[in-house]
Amino acid sequence: MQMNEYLSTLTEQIRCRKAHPMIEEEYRAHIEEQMEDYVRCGMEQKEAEEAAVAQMGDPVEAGVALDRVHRPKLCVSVIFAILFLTVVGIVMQAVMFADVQNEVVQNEYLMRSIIYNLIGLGVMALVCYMDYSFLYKHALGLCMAWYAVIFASVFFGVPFDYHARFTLFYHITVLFYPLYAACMFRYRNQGAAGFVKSVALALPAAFLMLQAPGATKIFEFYILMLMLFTVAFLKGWFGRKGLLKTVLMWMFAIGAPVIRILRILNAPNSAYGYRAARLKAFIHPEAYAEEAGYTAMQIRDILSGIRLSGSAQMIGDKLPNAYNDFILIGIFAYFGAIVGILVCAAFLFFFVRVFAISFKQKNQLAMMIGTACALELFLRSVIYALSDFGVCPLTQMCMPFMSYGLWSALSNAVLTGLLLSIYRYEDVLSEKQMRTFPHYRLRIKLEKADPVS
Amino acid sequence: MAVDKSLISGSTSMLLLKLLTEKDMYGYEMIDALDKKSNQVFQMKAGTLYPLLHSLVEKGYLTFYEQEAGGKMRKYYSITKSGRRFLGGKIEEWEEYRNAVTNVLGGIALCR
Repeated sequence: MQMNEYLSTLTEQIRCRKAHPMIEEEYRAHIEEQMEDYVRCGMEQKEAEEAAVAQMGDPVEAGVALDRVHRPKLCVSVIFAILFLTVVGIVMQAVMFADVQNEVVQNEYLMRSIIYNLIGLGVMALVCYMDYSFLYKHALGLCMAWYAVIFASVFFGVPFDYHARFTLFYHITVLFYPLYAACMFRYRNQGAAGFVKSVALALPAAFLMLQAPGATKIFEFYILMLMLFTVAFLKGWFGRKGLLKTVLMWMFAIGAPVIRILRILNAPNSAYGYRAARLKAFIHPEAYAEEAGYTAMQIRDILSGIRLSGSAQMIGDKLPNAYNDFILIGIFAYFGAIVGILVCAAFLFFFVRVFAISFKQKNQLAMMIGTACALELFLRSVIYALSDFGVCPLTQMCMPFMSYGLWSALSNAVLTGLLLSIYRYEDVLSEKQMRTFPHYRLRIKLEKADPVS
Repeated sequence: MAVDKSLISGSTSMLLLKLLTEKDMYGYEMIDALDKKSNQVFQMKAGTLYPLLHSLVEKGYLTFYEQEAGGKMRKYYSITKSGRRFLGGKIEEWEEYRNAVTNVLGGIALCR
């Protein structure tokens, strides 16, 4: 049997076609190495190939065994956590909609929420089934498309409706992180040049994030970039693995915002005035109870009314737009602390699982994209939870899986879909398959000239 | 001496993990090392080796990386912490089994 015939019989047994190149490459390298040894021992090329293939054993038996390993997988535990949180979110929204003095909200929003979540789950399944390597293949193009949408939104006011523009901006920005992770992967192993390219790609995004109202977006962006660069430094993507580089980056990264906050607090009459007022109101809400400290005082009032099991405390009259912005504290207030803690435990389980999935990836593209998606969801959830309980001065936007809204459901669906896709193709896709352009091997065969001719 | 394959198959993963505690190796190197260390008793087919290595990677006992050596890009396998723990358990099991077999065979020898 010849090598190609052996490899073709072997891969025919493996149902997942995406796994074929990775396996074929390893087996081909092995046969070639064995052939070289036989040729060194004096065999002819053809004879050496046949002998090397014979050494491999039965291709059908090996292929069947490999088929058992290289199969796309479903991360059932994460899917269950997502479904549980989505259902709890819809139930809580239903309770809150009934409390709002608006007929449209009371009659239509529940159905809308169910449809939005179903669309979200559909998109999540679609992204999960598409293999995530498309992000690498089209990383720069997708990144440019992202820049075009955000640029149009910030500088040309597209879409024209302020609320639609704000929502679009908020949720589209979320998609930057996995795209950026894929671009960083392209620049890895380029040393300082790779680092400069990565920073250059992030700078315009930082400028655009600064245009968002409030500090939440830029805070999210800042922390996420730091985390992604930390992972890249520790993995040695831009030169040697560097703990010192990472420590220096963090020292600078923490120092700069502290100086900025101090400047804001000491300059109440400057352009930072409203930010200073919000920070002061956060620190002493009782002193600003009628103005910036109103929300914090209402949250304190709600917190004091929370019981262990359901007290059916409604929060709609105290906090406006609660079905979007205060759904977590709403669960504690209405269903009680036990249900609230159960929901928090489900979130904790979800994050432990998705971070574990991301960090254990052998494929570094998958590791970085997974880390970016998991971090975005985690950071957003932490900011939301802390703001809901009045312990964070940042503005919360939406809680993954629980808040009302189509855009929220869609942006979460893309991130969770990517995480599930990474798990799904864990044993199927190798880093080598992520190359944009095929690599060709040039082989020159040297033969002795025939002395007769 | 030809050895019954069924005696070897159950312990192959233990042998491979043990080999990798010494140094990271690529597939071809493992077959060669196993062959030499066992005085040509364990002559493993590559077709059997790779499915086993891939399943050990899937279970988290091994990890791999690619490195250039002698002008060729090779896939090196490396044992993980969890792989070392698993190997420890397997060796204990093997010692118990070996003692039991030795005791029984010793008994047979005495009867003779």
